[in-house]
Amino acid sequence: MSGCGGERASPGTPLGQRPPLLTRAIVLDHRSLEPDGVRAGARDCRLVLEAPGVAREGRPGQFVHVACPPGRVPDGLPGRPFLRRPFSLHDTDPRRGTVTLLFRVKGTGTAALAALEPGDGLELLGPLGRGFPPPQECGRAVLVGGGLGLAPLLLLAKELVGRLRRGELSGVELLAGLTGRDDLGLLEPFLEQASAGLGLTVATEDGTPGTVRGLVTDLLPAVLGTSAGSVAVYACGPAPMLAAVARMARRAGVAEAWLSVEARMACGVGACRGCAVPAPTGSRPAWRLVCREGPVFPLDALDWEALAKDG
Amino acid sequence: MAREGGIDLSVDLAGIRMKNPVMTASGTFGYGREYAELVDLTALGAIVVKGTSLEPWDGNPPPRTVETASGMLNSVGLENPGVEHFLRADLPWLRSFGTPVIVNVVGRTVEEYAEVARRLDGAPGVSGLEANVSCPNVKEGGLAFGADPRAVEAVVRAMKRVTSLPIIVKLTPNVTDVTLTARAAEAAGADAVSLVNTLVGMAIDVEGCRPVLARGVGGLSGPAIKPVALAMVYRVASAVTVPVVGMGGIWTGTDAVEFLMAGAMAVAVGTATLVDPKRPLAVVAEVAEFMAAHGYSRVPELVGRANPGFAASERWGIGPPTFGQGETPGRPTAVKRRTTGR
Repeated sequence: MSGCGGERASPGTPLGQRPPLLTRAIVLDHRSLEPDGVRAGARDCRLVLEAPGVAREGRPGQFVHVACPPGRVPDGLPGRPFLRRPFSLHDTDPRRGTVTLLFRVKGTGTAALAALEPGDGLELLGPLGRGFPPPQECGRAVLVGGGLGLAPLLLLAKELVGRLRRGELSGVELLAGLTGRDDLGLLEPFLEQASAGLGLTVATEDGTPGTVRGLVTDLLPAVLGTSAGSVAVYACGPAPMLAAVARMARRAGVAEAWLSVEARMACGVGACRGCAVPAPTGSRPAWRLVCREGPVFPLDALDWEALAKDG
Repeated sequence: MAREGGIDLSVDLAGIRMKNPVMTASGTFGYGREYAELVDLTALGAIVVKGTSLEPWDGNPPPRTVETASGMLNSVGLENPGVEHFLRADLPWLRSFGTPVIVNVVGRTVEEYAEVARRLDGAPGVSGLEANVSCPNVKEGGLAFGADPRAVEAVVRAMKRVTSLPIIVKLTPNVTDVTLTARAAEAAGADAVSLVNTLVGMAIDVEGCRPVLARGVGGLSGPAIKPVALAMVYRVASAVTVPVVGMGGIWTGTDAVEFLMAGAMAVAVGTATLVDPKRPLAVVAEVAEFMAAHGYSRVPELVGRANPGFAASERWGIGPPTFGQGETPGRPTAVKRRTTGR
């Protein structure tokens, strides 16, 4: 071990060593990412919570399990949302004691969150799971995010840019994949990091001006280049994107790759074994748990092709 | 004796001394470790661990869970690392808390149930076994046994032959008459019965035109099933003389008291824990509050109280309920009428 990661845990051990907290957070700010900022019918939302314990203990890539209160949902379904919903830590500010979550309104849980107002309470369980470990080598870090998969990469990018500025890394690059111009709001919090040294390249499926037309994974081989042996890859996004990143990372022979996975989840702590994802063929057990063993897995921990097929 | 403000919450479940009547439901509490940082394991009545088989089981492919109205479906398929792993890796740690540990036993054959029971017999720290003949998510074992009274009998007899541990038989609600399997379990020597396991259910992904769960159907749990579970406990409690453990959608102390009044000697909190890890111990506190507010001093005074077919005083050898100061006027009379009127 070259020691660049400092007191890093060995791969596969939890980075959040403290016990998870059951805590009541307070909504401080709630914004839609749409340009007009209108919340009703908002697609992507950013929720800033006062949750000092989580802000202090949470590591990049970890998540909180959120009890989404159904009370404010207009025309809500009776008895739903029932289970908690997992959200990765988008940003934390330990000094101010705040935690930011980023989500797209897709179902009953996110609709409930979107209806929250500043001052509302929200119960969190977390931080949970294994996050992104810092790079072992002193080389480059390449981050790959697809759509809402960008959410956990902000906190990671901040930490890695800090290392870059301390001379512990030679480069930090983010490859962001978006559907089109409607998603540009997701990039906003990364711009500050870009001015601090984060390399930022954006791919869009519709070829929005200022971006590269295509999939984010089209950009990856060139970025990995010939010096992949000292590159650490970090990725979060849809399962097919993760499978492509895993293929390319293997082919290029990267130093390490850490991929963050999403799954349906009930308990969030490993008790129910609901959030199983496929381990490589022949492994026992045949499944790994996203909540306890993930959500961030090293390259060889999962069968990424099977994950993409199931997803 | 577990007393909180003059309330004695302790119960004796087929020889298992519990400091209160609240246990965890199998499959919702892992092997205890998963919740050890969030729940005071010493404060639970008993810890019922995950279904444990002879060899490790992989469980079912994902998706394994989906939310439904006031509940959830699961199709985990009893994934577990096997009895030897439990004995080696989990039990020594788990027993250090001093809370009774009940092991939920699963098998593909009668012989496998018996072999798991044999290996757990005499293991320090195991207080009882729960024969899981009711999981809807596995082909063999599970429902294939639980819906057939003769198969239930065969499993229980085979387990009784190899262990002196109390055996609780966990019954499925997926039958026409749950008292048939309950009576079969009792006839075969079961020391207690627990019910209900999950109800077979389904959710469909209308965009994908297919069931959400990879295996199609799963087991429904949560508050959605509580009325069904309660009715079954009520029926079984007056059909057998062994103690009953009631479960199915318990969220609050009042829910637990309902099950006790239906005739359960103890209750299990399951899906509620998955959503809110505070629930099992909150239920303990809320049962104690209920008892204090209503003049009950011991749990058996509640057991079967709303069930005319169940005579707690005869069954548990306790006299007619007695009430201390702060009793609710009229209530003792009503109880006397019920316990003596049958």
